[in-house]
Amino acid sequence: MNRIIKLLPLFLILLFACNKNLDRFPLDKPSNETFYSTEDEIVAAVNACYNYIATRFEYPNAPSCFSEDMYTDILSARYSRSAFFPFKLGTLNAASDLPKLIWTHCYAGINRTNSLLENMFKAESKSTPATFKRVRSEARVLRAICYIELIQKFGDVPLVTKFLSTDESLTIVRTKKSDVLQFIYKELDESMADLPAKYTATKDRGRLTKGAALAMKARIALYNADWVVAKTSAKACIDLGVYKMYSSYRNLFTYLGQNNDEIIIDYQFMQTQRENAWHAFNGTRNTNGTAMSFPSEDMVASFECTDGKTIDQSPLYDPTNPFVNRDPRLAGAVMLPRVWDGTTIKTPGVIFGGFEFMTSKELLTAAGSTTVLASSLSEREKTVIKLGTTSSVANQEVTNAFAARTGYCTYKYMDSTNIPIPNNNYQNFILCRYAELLLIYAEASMEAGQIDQSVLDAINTVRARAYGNTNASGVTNINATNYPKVTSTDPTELRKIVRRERKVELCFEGFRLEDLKRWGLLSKALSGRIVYGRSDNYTKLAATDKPVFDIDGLVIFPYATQKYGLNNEQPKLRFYETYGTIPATFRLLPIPLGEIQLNSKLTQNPGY
Amino acid sequence: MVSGVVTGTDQALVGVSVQVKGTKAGTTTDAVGHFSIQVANPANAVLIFSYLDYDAQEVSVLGRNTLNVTLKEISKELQPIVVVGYGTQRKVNLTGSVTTLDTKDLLTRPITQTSQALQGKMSGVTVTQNFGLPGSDGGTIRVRGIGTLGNASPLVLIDGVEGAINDINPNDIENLSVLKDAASASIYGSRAANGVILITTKRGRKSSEPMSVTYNGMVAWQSPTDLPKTVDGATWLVIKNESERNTGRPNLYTQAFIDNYRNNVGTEPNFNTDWFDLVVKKSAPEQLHNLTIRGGSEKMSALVSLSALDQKALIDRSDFRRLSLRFNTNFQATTRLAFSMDGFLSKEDANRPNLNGGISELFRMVTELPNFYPGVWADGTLGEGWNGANPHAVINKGGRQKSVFSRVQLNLRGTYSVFDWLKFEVAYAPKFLSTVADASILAYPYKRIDGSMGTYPAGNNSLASSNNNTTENFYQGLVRFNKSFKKHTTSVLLGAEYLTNRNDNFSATRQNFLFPNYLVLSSGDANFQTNGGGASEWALASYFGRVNYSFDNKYLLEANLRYDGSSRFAPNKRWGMFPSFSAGWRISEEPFFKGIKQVSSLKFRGSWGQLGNQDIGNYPYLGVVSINQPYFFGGNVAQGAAQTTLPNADVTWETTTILNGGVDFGLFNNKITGSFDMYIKNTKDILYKRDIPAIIGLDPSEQNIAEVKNTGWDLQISWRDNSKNFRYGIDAVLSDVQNKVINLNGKPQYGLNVIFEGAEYQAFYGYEAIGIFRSTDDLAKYPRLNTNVKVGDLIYKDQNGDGKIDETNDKKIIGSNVPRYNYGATFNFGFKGWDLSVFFQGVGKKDLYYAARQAAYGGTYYTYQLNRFIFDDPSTVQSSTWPRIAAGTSNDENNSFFLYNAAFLRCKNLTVSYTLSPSLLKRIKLSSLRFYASGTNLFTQDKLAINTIDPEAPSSVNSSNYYPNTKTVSFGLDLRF
Repeated sequence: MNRIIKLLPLFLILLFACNKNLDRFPLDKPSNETFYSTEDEIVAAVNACYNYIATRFEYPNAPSCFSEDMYTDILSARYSRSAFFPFKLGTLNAASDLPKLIWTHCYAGINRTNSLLENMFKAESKSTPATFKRVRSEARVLRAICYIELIQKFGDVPLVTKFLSTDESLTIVRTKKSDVLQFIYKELDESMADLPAKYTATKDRGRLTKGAALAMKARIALYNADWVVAKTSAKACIDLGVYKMYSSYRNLFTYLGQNNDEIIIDYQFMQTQRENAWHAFNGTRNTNGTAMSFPSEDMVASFECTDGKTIDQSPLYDPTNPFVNRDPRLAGAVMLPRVWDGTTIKTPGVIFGGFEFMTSKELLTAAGSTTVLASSLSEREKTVIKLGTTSSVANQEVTNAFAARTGYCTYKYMDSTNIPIPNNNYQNFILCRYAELLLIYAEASMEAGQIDQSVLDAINTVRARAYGNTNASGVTNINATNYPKVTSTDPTELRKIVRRERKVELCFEGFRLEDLKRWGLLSKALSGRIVYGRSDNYTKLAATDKPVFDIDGLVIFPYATQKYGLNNEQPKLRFYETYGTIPATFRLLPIPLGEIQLNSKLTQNPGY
Repeated sequence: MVSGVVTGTDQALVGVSVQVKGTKAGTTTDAVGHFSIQVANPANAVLIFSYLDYDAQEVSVLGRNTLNVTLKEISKELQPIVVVGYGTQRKVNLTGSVTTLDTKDLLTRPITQTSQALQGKMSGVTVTQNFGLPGSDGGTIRVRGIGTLGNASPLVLIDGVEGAINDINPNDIENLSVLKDAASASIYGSRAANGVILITTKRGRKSSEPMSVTYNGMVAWQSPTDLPKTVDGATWLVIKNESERNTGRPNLYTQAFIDNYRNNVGTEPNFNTDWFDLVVKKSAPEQLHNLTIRGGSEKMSALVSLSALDQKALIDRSDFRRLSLRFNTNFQATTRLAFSMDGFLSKEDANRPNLNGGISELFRMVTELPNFYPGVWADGTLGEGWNGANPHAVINKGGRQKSVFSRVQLNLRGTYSVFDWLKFEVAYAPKFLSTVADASILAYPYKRIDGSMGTYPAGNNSLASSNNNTTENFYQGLVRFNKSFKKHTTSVLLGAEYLTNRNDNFSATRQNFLFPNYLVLSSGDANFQTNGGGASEWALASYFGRVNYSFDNKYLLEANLRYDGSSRFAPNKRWGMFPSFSAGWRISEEPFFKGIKQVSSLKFRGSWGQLGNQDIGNYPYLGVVSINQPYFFGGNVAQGAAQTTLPNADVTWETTTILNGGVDFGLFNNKITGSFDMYIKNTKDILYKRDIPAIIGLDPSEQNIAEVKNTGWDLQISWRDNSKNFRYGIDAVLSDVQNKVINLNGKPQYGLNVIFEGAEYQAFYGYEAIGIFRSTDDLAKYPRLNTNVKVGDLIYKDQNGDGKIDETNDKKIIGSNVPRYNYGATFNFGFKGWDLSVFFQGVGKKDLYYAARQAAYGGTYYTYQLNRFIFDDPSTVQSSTWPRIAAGTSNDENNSFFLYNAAFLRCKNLTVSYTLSPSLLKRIKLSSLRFYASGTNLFTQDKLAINTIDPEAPSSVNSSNYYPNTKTVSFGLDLRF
């Protein structure tokens, strides 16, 4: 018995002894204290920063800036779950998702780059000097890109350049936009030297280059009316000699145009690994798409005729057959429908995915009647014949109530490769390209009052490509001569031309909202704006039914409300929607409510 | 000298006190129940035998030398035993607040998940069930409110080993008790803050009882409770047009089109598909079978329990099957050395349609799809549904989601009784859990309204397979000490535990299966393969002790202490100490109380103690770099690394302090028994991912910042009586808890559910809707959120009267997310062989936020929206009860218009059973036979303004994306050989 009592403490000690080991560390994640200390680690760290090269919070998983155009005068969307949706309704407020999504994205990217930049000194002795410097510069440019987005969207923002503690984050104040701008300039300037002009290895395609830093500087300078900086940066980038116009405007945005020499910065996708649903979102109804966004009549009207004149001026423009004799970029960017009078095809629609694009609802009804003529439907536009087949199928561009509501679809970034895989697209999205740079050069020079031949050359280089001789695999002649050259050196005239050029060349690429903002046209162009679509029956248009371009290049349709038909019930243009009241203060987004609630030192932008 | 053996019902009793009456001489029985005592006057002496839980007995020696005595156990009805931490206790000696479940009716209700059994049955325990999907239809259990901002589920111990409440087959439960206050739960220290549910399982029988074989089986039919009612196709067309006009767009459908539809509805292609009718079955069967074998000998006893559940879902091709086996064995190696070896093996198969968003998404489609869309064509072709997403088609032709969850759980225990009063116990309980899941995506063809064909989803078919394994090892050592000296009874418990847990998982996908009948990974296209995997681990070490002392069975004292260390915290923050003290006074045992005949028993209890919570991520204190942040350059994967979470090195335990006072009573010869408790439960250092400024750029991790207080009371009362052949009884529980966030370190969280200091946890927050703008005068009169607010929109109250409506100043707390006044009452009536049991359950105060109007963005409308404001219909201007229908307007802001009173009373169960009389049984050679019929969720009384949804439906801002609760009717029998 005594022995057993003596065993008792031993028993307890045994039990207690086995409990020592409570050290458990993550099995799949290294500690941040030792990280950033080898070349592999800093390269991996900068790779992770590239995920912040553009926001990607909108449904199709493409860069979200591509959604911005859908809430302007050039494009409209019926996608009401978009974070941008309250913008066009005029209901945007500090509690809306949009500002929070952009803010969170940018500062997360800034944290990543700051963490790397602060700690990478640990790796310096263990890295190839060139790689070390390149990584540092990539990170700095990426951080600058985040700040560019921030100051454009919010104006003054806190300038964070190091890992921020919680306490610091609760009292930080907004830095003046102009100071952040100077910071961006400095970062871009200092980074350029260590970035290559071009990467040769395939595995490095998509990394930031010297040209990317210059282009970003040119862009943000332009956006902030810093004309001389914009001009010189653009010039320096052009002078690198690395970039040139890609042979085909249409193919530039398809798989054929991936990683070509026009692209300065893009967002890279990869099959199976990172995909987007651009086609499912924007594609036509007949080709596995849901036609969520669609160009407006304003956009279509903005493309010139081949004589270089706007359609209100050009004798080549025929309202009853509107798509002939037009700037080829119209057909490159907008999926154009068939123009016919019910019997004769005047201009066939775009053939995409084997289907001819036909969207006329008007021809569904007997002239002047409101009754649907079921028998004639099957004969006419309600059916469509797929190439290579003989039997006709229902044409959903007409029969589906949720097809493209303006009668147009976007054609940019539409590639028939994506039709069978509408949710698994993997083409890259271009964030900055040479054509934009040329237009920045032109606009900055013009605004700086330095109009010379180089300005006209820049604009004309962009225009020339559009008129090049296209063949199936691209273009052989990008320096076309048979195109309407810009020759005017009158500043007022040139301003109109450059602005229109941006509108048509860069359409649907996420520039329109920023352009409207900086040209002071936001409220004028969007508040209460009525979005029109195609005419449902072009034969009912008169030769005088042409739009008018106001002094700011915005489109007005005097005939839009006119009607025809036996009882005058059909409007001459389709009406899609009316935007809400959009105040000029929408030019800046509200600082997210949550940020202000946590940090009372943050001031709110006016109007919210 | 008198000697002999003292036995109980079926075995020798160890430690029985033997005393010579009128003297101080006494002894106790040894390990084989033997005693010997010197008696001065053998002829006249009287010996008193007394033992815990047994009636004391006085035996005259009458000059005998050998005296064998059998003690009679105190009836369990009168002296219930309650399972407490690391042991059992007589209910009368309990000083903490413990509530037990009457396990008798567990088998007559179609309980598929054990958590359902607790609803409305236990005071202070709130069970909410709002998802009826087989396999996922367990309830959410909250013990005494919400004491943490994280996981507030109680700790569940099955035979002393941590488990999940739904891990156990209801048939195996012998005892289930819930430890509600700190005194009873603090022995479980760091995991006990949300309450502890203790379950012990049935065990084998001693040799004195015959071996028994019991079969219990039932078949049941489930049918859905309420889901929202959608409008018919024609109405949808009209409202859709209205919505378009209200958002500045033209009509989508012409009047001619609508007229044509209305005149020809029912003839293709003018569909009027009742999606609910098409997809949700009127009834779905389930069956449950249990077979239990119990038996044993002197040296060994065993129980084997086999259970099978097959539950079909309310949608086709979907079911849940569970097969489980339990064996509990006891070995008596020597009189002092005993072993037990328990095993629990189970396999759960769930089989469902696969779609992004799971089964909730399927029900979202059912409740959001306009009736106008085709479901199935007359020729059997599938209809288009929503751009091809047709729930009926997804179920019948789409991809499948299959998961197999397997469990092997062992519990090995050895007990060595050094003395009668000293026992050592060691246990090792390993647990292996594995889930193997497959999810496929298969396209199906469908026909559109225009007759054209399409396939959905577009793209490659695919298969994702995953495997998730958890291994848990649990070690325990206990020392028990029990001793009584005269009127003093003491017991001491010391113990140590160590728990390690490791999880490993991997997943892989392939696409493009040319032969979709052979859906295994390697038959897919290797060009489309991805894979991933991960692993994590944690550990917990504990030391604990308990002292019980009672004097004269009147004054009761208990103290507990637990010392826990968790791997989840930094080494210097790792250990936490959790003490508790409690006391009880059985006033009815006092001499001065004996005269009060009406009161059969009365006890006052009081307790104070502390509990902890460590249920957070595994490594919140470590700053780590995720090396799974790739980017893709030129079609190549480039590995990326980044820190994504802000670590908090100071993170440590949450501490809950509970002060509890209670009274247990029995009246009129214990015909009426009950207990009442009041408590204050204060949780400090609550681990909470507070909103940090997004400017930091990282996700927050837990910090010990918040403090929450729960104040409440629990009442439990039973009345049992019988007269001749008639038996009746009532068991009722009622409890309330008030929740308040005391301190949040000044950092509130905003949203629909807010966390504000001074307010209830996750209270509903929004504008106060005070009406509808009915005229342009109204527009001028009341401030508007923005200039786009139009006639027909909701008017929000300008709380601060500054003439404008703004987010910061005009939102307020509009409702509560915590149900109050939870109650349940069971009425039992018995007459001869017949028994009737009716069980009502309800909630006295509950708010439901249900703003599924946003479904109307692309979806259908509901009958409750019909009385809406229509701009061009003057008759609606004054009478409308719903605002104008328009997506994206200010009406979509969180506001009180969508808050409903969801208090309800529900007939949770009604059971009629008949037990055959013993005489009849003898003839058919059975020990017992009982038949029963039972109905669950039979009817519900509520005041919901939207009366087509279930009051227990989850609060929602988007859509009714939940599998409805079910109504069940079942028939079964209980058979013992």
